[in-house]
Amino acid sequence: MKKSIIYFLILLASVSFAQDAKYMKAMEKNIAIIDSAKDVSYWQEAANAFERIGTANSGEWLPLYYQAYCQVMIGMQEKENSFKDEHFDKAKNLADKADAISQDNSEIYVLKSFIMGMMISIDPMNRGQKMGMESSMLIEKAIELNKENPRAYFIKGTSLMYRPAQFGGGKEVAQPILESAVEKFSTFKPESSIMPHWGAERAKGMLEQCKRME
Amino acid sequence: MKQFLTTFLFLMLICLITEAQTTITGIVTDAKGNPIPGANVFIKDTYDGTTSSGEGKFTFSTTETGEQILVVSFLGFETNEQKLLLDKTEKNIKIKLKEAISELKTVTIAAGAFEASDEKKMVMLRPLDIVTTAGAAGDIYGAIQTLPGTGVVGEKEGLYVRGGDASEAKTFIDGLLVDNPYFTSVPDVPQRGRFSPFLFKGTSFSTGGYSAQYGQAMSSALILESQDLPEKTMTNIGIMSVGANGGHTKRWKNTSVGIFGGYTDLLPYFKLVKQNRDWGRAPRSENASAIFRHKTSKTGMLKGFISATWSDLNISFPDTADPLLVQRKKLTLNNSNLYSSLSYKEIIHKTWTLYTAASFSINKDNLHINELPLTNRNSLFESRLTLSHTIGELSVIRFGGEFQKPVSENTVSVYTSKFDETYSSVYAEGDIYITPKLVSRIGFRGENSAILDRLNFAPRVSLAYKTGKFSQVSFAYGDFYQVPQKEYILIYDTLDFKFERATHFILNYQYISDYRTFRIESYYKSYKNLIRTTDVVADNSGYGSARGFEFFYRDKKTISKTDFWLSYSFLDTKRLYRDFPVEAMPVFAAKHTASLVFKYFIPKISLAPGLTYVYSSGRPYFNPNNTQFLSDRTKDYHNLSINFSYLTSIGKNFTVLVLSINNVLGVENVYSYNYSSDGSRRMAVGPTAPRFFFAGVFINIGSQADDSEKFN
Repeated sequence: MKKSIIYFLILLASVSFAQDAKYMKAMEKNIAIIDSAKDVSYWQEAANAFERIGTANSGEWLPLYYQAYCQVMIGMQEKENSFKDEHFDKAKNLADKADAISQDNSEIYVLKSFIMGMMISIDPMNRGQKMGMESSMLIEKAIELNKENPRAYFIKGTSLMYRPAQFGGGKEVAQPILESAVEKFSTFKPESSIMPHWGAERAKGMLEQCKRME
Repeated sequence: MKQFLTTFLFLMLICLITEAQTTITGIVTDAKGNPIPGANVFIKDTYDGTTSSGEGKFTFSTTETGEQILVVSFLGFETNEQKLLLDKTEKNIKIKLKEAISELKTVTIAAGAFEASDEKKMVMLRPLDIVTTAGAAGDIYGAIQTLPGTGVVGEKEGLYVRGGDASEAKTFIDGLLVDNPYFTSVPDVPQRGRFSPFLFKGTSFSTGGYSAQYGQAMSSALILESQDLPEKTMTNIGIMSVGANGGHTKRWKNTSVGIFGGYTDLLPYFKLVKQNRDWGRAPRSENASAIFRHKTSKTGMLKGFISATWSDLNISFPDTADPLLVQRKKLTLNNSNLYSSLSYKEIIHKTWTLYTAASFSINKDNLHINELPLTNRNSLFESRLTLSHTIGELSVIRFGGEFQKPVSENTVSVYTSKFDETYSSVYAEGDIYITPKLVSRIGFRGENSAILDRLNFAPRVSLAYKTGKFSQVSFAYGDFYQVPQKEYILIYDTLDFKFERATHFILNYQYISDYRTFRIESYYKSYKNLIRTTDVVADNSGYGSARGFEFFYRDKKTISKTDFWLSYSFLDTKRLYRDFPVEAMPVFAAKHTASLVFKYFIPKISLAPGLTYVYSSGRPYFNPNNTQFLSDRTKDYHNLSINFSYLTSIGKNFTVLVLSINNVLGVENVYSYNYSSDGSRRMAVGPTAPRFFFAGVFINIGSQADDSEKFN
């Protein structure tokens, strides 16, 4: 009897291990899609896959996180503002769900700040003042939670670069932050293959763009 | 044990055998049958699924068996779930997705309304647009006057909407009527609004056909919605060519308190720039106000506002009783005004929202005309309660009641007259969405006036239908009653008056996309029971009508970094009221009115130049020498105003420098003529100065968003 319980436990463990492996494999596959996405259809395909993984693993924050990230990237490639907004609203909604599962997560705060920054870009004149403040608070919180998160510095530097100097932005303030983002990316090692690791290349590009600014 | 192992292996084998798959193919379309590419098609709670192709087609296989749920989702559409029996035979499924209800796809009740809001997506204007309109000088009413439907009446404050006079246009803050929205009227000197546009997050200017929640306004309702909790603690300082103001707002987690003060004196400015009026004492005012906000729960909000203003001036003008217009009349005014309000909103049960508010205001004018003392003391207590109930996702019904107690005491020398009214109303209204593209609003309002001892019943109906992605047509009809102006009730206090009444019909088409807005509206308005006076009696035998059309075009795209809007109004109106001997076009009406508001932004140097040009055809004026009543017209009116805003920072503090010039070209506009009592001489009434210059520096301390205090 005792033995059969042990066998049963082994069986159970192997089933759950198989499930974990399946989850990891599916995540890795779709993260690879977005890492080398060529156009919006790749992002859409990955967003859908993350939605499926997310509904089958309702306790995980990463599928929601990546689905939100895909939605922002799709929204950025939309032409019409009203459609952009639809994607950003959806992304925000997903990021909030991820936040509810994994609280005080620096990566989620980075994503939320990034989404808000994109929302502002649609109508900076009218949205800048109120949402800019919120976006800044989110990114400060992200840094506070993990001072070594390169994406936090990347997003902070980018938003400062686009913010007018009168509101505390501009080249001078943005450049050192983008520099520290690039530096932190060079030593950054994600905890696992499915943890967020995007942004290194774009941070370099943004720094170059910042240096060229007048 | 061996037996267990055998069973286990056997079971595993079965699993492997049943690994045989079911293939699911099909197509995803919208309600009209157009393919939807990019939709997510999958078996619920599994990884099995795919993305629909460019033609909306999909195919995938699953190892799941038995009854499962097939989920199809796509942004902007309602998620479709259906049961599916997986039995290894190929499935071919057609899925039609229903468009999700969203603000962008839903029709809105639009006839008669111009809305400025940050929260809504489909609006004509943003609150910032109001503040930055050249020529408005930061005055809400100044900006509203660039919108179609309003007339240019330069000699007097107020909104003259579609052939209605200023007393037919009312201002409401958070649902409550504001008794004295402008500084006290002085003959031939227009006054500004009392309230700063920065107090409001939403402005809805209605030129007719408005909701049953509002009454006692025959032509227009300006509905202002006050700000919620401010983002954070901050201090503001403003230094202007005409005075200074400042304020400090402290923000806690769920509460905020702000205190503000201001001082304005036109004396130094009037010394510098020659005026067309004879000022003994240039207008001067002091203001103190406080704002309180408290979030009582996740959905509850308590708002308090109190504002006190003191102002005084002294002006002389030619006495029309003197045939030579040489003798002068001297007017001295001391005004004190208090406005206070308290409101509370909360969701009391899932679909039920309660809104209740009360206000008290008091306004006191101490006037001297030559040596004759006059005092006017008006007070208004008001309360309102509205319950709203949402039905489904879009429809909502509202009902409630309103109570007003206006008391007015006018004293001339030693004679006092008193106006003491008790007004109450009940209203019910439903915004019923038949489909997301078709909405009807049917409302009723019943009003009771104690001073008239009369009741009225006013139906209001609106319909709107979305004709395309960005366009819609709307229609509105309604009856609007008003208690006659208190002057008449006071003078003819023994007479039996009725409510004055206007009926509106409005037809509207609008197109709002991200960068372009187009709106055309036509209307017919008929007036009944207007007050008519003769030497001895007054009655409700007056009448009138107004009809016209208006158009509005706004473009943010065609010219880079430029936002401009064009308005045009055509008005054909006549009325027989007050002391009119015959039906005539009233003095405040003009046949053609047009305006152009132009805003440009140069990011490199953070400079925002803007201009506003306003045109109005001549208005009637009273000429005692012409036997045809009100048949003379003033010359056309032209006004070009420019402004520059420069955004910078002083230390770490966001700062705006503003310079504006009204009537840059110095056009000598004439609003009307004042005749001596015998008609032998006349005097043109024009602006108080050919041009008005304004310069100001506004500093925001603590507005930079580099701290995370809200989270700590």
